[in-house]
Amino acid sequence: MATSGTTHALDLPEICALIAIHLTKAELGECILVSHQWANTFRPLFWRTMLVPRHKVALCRDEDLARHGHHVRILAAGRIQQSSPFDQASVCSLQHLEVSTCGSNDEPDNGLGCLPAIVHRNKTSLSELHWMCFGWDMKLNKPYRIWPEIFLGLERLETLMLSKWTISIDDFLTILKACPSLNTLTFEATEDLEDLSPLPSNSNVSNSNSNKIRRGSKMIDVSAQDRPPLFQHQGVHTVHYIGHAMPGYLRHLPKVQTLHLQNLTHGNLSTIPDEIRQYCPEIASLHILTLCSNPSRFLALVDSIHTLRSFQGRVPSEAMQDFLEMVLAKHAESIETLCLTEAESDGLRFNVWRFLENCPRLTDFQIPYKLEGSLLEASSTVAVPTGFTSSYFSSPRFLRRRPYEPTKPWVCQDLSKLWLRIKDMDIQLMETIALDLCVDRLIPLTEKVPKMASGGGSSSSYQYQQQHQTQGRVQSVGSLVGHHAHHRHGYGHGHGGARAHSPLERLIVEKLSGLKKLSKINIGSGWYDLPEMKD
Amino acid sequence: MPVTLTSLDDVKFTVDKEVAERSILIKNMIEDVGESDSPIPLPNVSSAVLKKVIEYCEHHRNDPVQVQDETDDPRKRSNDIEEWDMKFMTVDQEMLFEIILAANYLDIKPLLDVGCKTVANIIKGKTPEEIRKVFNIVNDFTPEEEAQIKKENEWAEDR
Repeated sequence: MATSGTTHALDLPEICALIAIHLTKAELGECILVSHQWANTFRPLFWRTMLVPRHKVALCRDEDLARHGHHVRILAAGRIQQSSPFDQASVCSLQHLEVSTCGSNDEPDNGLGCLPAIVHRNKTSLSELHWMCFGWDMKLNKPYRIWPEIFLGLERLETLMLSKWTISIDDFLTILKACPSLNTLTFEATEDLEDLSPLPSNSNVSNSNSNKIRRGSKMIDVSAQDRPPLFQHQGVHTVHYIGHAMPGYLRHLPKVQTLHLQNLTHGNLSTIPDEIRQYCPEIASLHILTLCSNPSRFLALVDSIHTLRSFQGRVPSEAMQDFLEMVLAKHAESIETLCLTEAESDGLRFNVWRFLENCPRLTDFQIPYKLEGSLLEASSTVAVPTGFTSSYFSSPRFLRRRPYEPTKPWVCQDLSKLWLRIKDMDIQLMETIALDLCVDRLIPLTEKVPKMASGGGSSSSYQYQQQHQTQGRVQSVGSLVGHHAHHRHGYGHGHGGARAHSPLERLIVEKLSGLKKLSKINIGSGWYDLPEMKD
Repeated sequence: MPVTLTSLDDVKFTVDKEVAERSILIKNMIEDVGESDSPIPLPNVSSAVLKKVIEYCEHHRNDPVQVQDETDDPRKRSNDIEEWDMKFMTVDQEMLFEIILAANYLDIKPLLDVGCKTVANIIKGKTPEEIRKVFNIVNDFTPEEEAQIKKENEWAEDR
């Protein structure tokens, strides 16, 4: 390809790699057929990722892998049994491996087949492993027990996902000790061999002094000296539990920062809050994508977090009020992301504006519930004594209905993503607010028309249309503005909109236009991207 | 504040600092050298190519700086090349590859991405023979070798 002595772009592997990113496997295959030089350039990129569906594994050819297997970095090898085309000397540089094996109590190799050989061969390069087991152990009446020795030597393993296994605490410790580089763990439909956590006591006091553990259905006394010293892995920072939670693992993972809980059977949080409180002070992010059967356990979970930075997911509706109070009371200074998934309940009665008034680090705030436009709130002169939740004070005699008025300025200057819905708010108005913000951003400060003239916020954008239309500025704002410009012409005149804005609505627009970093907003009618503020 | 860049063939280009700093290489050079009026030598870039690169940087001077995200998959970004960029990239092949090399050397990631995407778009949908025609490449495979490769590719392709 290079005609003179100078380098051609296609001679540089990093550039070819960048080109290959945009090509499908089939297209890379065509490139290999162009010439010897192109074959040498693109072949490593073609073979780099092998995602072999189960029905095609039989077609894999040993000879081809013998020749090109050393290029493979990412491999989904399907089911591994006694033999596999991927069990050969050339396949030795894998970074990412996804496999499944069929568990067995009858086979001498426990159904592992040639997997240990493959893993062992790739132990110096392997950084991500997904291992799923098929089958059900009738003796244990649980998924098959894992074979932790396979992890010996996997010093570079960082990400591990295990599906449908039974893993005892000892197995888990073997894995942790074998893999010092681990940082992300995912357990799907995986169970502990025995429940080793202490019996939950009646009070909420931590159970560190408890010396009883449960083995099967009996409680056994274990005195302090019988218990081995606690091994703790200093690297793992993210844990996902899908389907089933194993709280007993958490005491070995003091550095966990992010905890995901997904689709837990019966919404059972088990003793996770207690484990976190005692062993995991650094957890700052919670993703709860599961129903919780017990709202007070849910609250205990949130309460066990020392400094909450991010919460995403589902809140049980009975716990919503207390949850929001708790976050405001304990984590107002640290909370950055608060994104609730939509649920059935409507008419959330909580002064959500308090988050915007009190949380300086808030950047992503999504509450897709229909908030009451005026608030039934606890009288602000009645202090909530400790030990009582605020829901006590929601009884009618303490409430009054008043419209939201800002008592404090909004402190969340870094807010970049916002989703709020106000009950009974006019759809057209919702779009107008977003539109006004867009337009607001595009006018340089010196040319701004004074806002809040009689008729509310929409008049400013209307006047803007009038002033600049001939200059063709409107075109740069995109089709949305153009559509609305025609739409509003129909309504005509400086008063804009179908009705006058309520004080709440005017307030929202005013407050929102002060948020300079706001880039995405949804006020009930969909997401709008806001252009960057012009200086 | 203006900055002077000198090309391979000793041609001087004066640009705003903001424009020049779209190139991370130049940005770092300016930081190292500090306040100085001396021109920055770019011995790997000819004047014709440098002119094009500067044109790109001028047009994109206000773009937000792309944050390097390890999990960022370029395919997930918009697949469409902007109209202006497409027109900009309508050049002969030699210039296209020279621009890519220059963007690589000067460390201007968005330009490099656009260039590579453009080459990828040229390759897409073409048979090997058509690719050879476009890039003036001679077919040096024997028929046996070709058949061999075709067999290999067959099973290794994605579902």
